[in-house]
Amino acid sequence: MPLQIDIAEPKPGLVQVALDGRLDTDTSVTLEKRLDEVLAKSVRAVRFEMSKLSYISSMGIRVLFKTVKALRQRKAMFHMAGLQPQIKKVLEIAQALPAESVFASVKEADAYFDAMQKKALGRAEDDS
Amino acid sequence: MSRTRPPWRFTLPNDLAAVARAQESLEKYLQEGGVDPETVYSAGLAFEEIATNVIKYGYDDDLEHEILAEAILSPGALVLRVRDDGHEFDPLRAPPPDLDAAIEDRPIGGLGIHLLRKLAERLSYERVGGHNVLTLWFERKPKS
Repeated sequence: MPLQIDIAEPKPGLVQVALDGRLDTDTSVTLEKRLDEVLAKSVRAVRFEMSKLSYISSMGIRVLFKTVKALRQRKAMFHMAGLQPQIKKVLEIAQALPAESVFASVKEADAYFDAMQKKALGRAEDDS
Repeated sequence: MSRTRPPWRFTLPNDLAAVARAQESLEKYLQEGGVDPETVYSAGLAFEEIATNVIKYGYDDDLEHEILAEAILSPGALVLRVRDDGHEFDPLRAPPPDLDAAIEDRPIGGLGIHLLRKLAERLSYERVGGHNVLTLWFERKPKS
């Protein structure tokens, strides 16, 4: 089964990448291209919605690493939500799960994004 | 289900496009053999990592090569064997990746080998008559 990639912007600055299917050697190439387009624009956070992702291999993890790297360079956030147990296990073995980036659900990730936005806004107001 | 199934055998060319098809066939064989989903996942992933490594790094020429894969099921275990005529390469002796480095500084090489080492109970490597023969053992888990 191939990979379906749905990219949306549910909140200003927050890009959600919903993955449905398998992220393997084949499909990671397509995902990498789509993410290059996302990262070419200014973003505050990229969230991977993974509740329908059933498989990931090292090539898929490579694409996630690359995204983490690009986002950290611009001080933007990287979030993952809804990981299935087998995906979580593989990411744990690869030690690819920064604790602050994993959320049980999109709702939780949303709340965190909102809180961080508020904090950033507060800081901006203090500075002015 | 206690009936012994004939082993799964698959010959694929050294073409990355062929990996997904072979992997699908392996996973189907294991599912039909009543193997638990976790072991199916581990074996499928290990197969993808081995096959892609061989195809990407095993050959210097542009010739077509054959990679032979085999899976044997017993009531408690699954044995997966991959045989290729690429460069001599023993994944058991490959240095482990530096997983303590910050994610953004980590080289990605070696991650696939690290995954299959962790997912299989046991691995063995032999160089036989110009072929790499890699064998992995997986313990089957009871189905929940």
